[in-house]
Amino acid sequence: MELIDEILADRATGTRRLVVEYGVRLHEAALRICGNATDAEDYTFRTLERAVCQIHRFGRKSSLFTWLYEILINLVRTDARRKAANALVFQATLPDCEDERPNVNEALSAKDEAIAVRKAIRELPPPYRALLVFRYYEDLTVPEIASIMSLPEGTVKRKLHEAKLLVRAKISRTVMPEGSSNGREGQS
Amino acid sequence: MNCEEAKRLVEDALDKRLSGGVKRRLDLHLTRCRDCRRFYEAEQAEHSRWFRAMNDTEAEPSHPLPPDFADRLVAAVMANDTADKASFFRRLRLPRWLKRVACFALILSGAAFAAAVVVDAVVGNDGEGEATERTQAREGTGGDDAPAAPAAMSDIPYVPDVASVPSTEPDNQQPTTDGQLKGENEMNIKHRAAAALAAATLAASPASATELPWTGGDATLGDGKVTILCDENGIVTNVTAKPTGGEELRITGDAMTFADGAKISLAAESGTFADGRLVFANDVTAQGALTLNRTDGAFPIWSGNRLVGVNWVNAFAANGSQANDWSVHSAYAIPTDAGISENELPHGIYRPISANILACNRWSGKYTFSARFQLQNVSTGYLQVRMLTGVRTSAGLYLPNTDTWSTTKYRTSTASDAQWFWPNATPVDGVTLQYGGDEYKFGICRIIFQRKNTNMGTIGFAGEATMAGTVSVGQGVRMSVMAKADSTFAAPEFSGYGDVEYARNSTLSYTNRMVHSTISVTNATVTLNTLGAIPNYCTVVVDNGGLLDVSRASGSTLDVKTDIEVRTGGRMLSNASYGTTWKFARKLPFKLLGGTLECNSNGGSVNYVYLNRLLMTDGAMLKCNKPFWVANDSEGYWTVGGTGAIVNGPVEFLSASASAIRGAVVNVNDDATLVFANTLAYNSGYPHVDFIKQGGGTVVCQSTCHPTAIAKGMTVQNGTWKLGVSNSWLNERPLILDGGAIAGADNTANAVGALTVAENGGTIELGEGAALTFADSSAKAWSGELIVKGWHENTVRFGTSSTALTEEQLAMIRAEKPNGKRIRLCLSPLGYLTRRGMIISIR
Repeated sequence: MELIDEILADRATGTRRLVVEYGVRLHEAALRICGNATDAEDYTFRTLERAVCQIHRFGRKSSLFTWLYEILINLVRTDARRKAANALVFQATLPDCEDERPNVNEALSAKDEAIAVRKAIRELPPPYRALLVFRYYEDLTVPEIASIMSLPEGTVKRKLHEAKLLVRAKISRTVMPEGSSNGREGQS
Repeated sequence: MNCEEAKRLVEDALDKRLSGGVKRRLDLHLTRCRDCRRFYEAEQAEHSRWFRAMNDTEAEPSHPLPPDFADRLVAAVMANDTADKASFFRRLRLPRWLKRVACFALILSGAAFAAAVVVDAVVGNDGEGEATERTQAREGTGGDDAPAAPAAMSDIPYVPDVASVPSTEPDNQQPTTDGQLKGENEMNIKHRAAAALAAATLAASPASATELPWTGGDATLGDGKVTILCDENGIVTNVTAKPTGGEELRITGDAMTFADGAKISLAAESGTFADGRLVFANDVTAQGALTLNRTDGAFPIWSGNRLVGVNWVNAFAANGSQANDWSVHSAYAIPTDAGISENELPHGIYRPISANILACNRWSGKYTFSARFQLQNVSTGYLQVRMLTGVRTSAGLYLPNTDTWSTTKYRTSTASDAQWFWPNATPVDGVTLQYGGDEYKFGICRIIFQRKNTNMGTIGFAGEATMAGTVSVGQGVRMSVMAKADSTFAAPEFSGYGDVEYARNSTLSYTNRMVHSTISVTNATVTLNTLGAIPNYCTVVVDNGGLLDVSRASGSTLDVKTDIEVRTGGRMLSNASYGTTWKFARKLPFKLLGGTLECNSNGGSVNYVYLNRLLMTDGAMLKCNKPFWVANDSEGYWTVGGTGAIVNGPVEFLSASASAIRGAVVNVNDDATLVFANTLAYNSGYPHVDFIKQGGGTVVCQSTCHPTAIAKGMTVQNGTWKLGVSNSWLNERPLILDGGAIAGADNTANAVGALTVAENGGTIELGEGAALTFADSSAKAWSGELIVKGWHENTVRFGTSSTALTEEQLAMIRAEKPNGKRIRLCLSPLGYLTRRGMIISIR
């Protein structure tokens, strides 16, 4: 039986299955977006709860995951607005940073870069962080991210570009010694 | 496209969702612009690296949800209080906190219980220092600010082993999933594998009897429903589960690592169990062969028990590539969206062992799948792999050794067959279904390829194989059947719209139609041995070494609506007891492109071939042991396109009806030769055939030619009709030269009917010592010039007197000397063509 149908038919069983099939992955994503476990679990819980209670509103057009992320992002946004300080809204302008793409082959081992990338993404402002989690952890496409975050595709692309610049800057700052960013690849 | 546009497309390009036109323009730009090409390469590489970085499961261990998570969620959704989440949480928290206190008290006082509780060090790369900082921060806030829900007493199916771990420690240092420590009252503990861990036996059946928060060592659920045995290193060697009907047994907690040769057994607690599931809530890593075993016998129903891996990310990662070997005694199900991502399954060998199913069911999404399935001893079981839309698969099926796969089961009731499905999946070229071993017998099985316009790849048979099932090939699908020498396909049914290629020395016979397909036979034998077996609207190509056998037990009419091409080295064979009647569709050419068509009638009758358009090229051969009748309904047309094409058999032309008067046309191209090595005759029942020779090439009659009842006679419009042996032209039937030549081979003597020379003239060519006699032709109206080459006295004769040709006709005749000089001729009193002067002198 389709999971959705199972939830509709037998809410308890369906909910357990939802947790089994989607819970861990959603939790992982929430953890990466929120940055702390307590919130992540709370958001996971509330996302799944809302999903089950509003399962009849799931259009089955997108994948269930996409819909869950949409709920998750809405919850995070709502909370962030309350807190205001940490609003999940993109900054108007890009922080001042150049497009420095470290030449990883020479300067970084893959492992070092992986660590640096994870750290850099963790340290990004929340909206950029969510964007990159969807992009690189969930491997979602631009339209999917746009749908989840309720943003136009063009904005997603622009912010994605900015987020990449931020991460590249952080990588080169944290890992590369000052002035050794010799790998300005691909810049015309 | 300029550089700016190209760079703007990079995200779409990474998503692989550029339309064809845009992609082409981008590709074009990238081939021209070095900067952009580097930019794209760098972006692509970075994308891959970052994706790997974010999905590095070693560096970022997974963070399981707390064991009571599902219970809490169910309670919440059942309460259905969606209006006010905050109040809901507050309501929910209080009783659980109370429970926690109760539980804590129980643990402190419950010295009788023993369990191993080890602090989980599941922390990220930040290290413990950061975790400690966070812990302190959290402790500072007290825990009244949304503390994570503690486990209810009923949710804790174990008690700490106070002997091995100080009972106070867990309270203070309980890690949560991401390495942060929660408040001191938290009982939500995860465990790590510990080598020295003592066996932890659950003393009482926990309230949530279906869940075992595995501790990393030997563990048994209270009523023995799940037992986990580990070696001294905490590596799992055996999991036994006894689910009852419909029950789900969950093992939460740490990721399991299974030792090489480990077993997972599902045994019914009592009777049979349906829909029982063993669920691993976390990654499972196999260090080698892992056996999934059902121990209670019959396993008849698809919807039966399942072993479910929630997150199998590491399932095959342990030893890299092909090292892992899964023996699946039981249904092994990977549920929808199980978190399988690209290249996570390529590395296993899956072996369903008996009477069971390996169900990789309902995979959807962008998964690449190239695992190998190895069936052995599945005499009563079957393998089912269903892949839905969006799955990219290059999965292989490998049937090893000498096992027999005579499966008769399929899950759906409509077909009692095993099936391979690749419906609508995104194509990957080169899918291989490989049947290895010395001998293979397929019972009823169906292999279905439904994808359109793809190169389906190969079904390979490494040894002798008989196959009584179906291979259905979707429209536009190309499929190769590769087999070693002496493979035999007994009688599979081919249907659908695809192309099937038979290569190597495979033998294929099939009983039913295949339509709209291309069948190519190379070094293979394809046998069509039942009425109606000729594929319709197909292209059948018999290539070098191939044999297309269309023999049938009894002669009956066969309508051929397919395009058959027999190439050099290929052979098409028709053996029939009573002769075969083939009706090739009108205007559909039968192409003997250097190949051989052999028609043998074993019952003494003839082969009727309504073969209106025959195209033969260099080296083509038509062989028959009985008369081979080529009917011409209206437009019989033979074309010989090369030198050395041979019709080697008694060939007879007949008209289909008295009104069909257009006759057969043999077109022998310039420099080509068609040899009738046996009798060329007509059918006396159809006296209205015109026989026309066209093309600049030569027809050679090496045997008797019977143009007796030809109404107008033989017309040679171009090229040469050569009488290769004496008496090869019987019954004095008329001959019309209208641009062509009649030739007599060296040292032959032939008698031809009355000669007409039409508008385009004609030629008589005489070999050394050749003689030609025509019937009295004086009644024929000549309108063209007749040239006689190789003329000598007493070699060409008309009738028996000097009046066999009229003066007007004689005026049109010239003998051409070898030096090109032409002389006028007249008839001698005995009708021989002779010099005019000689006649005069005689008179």
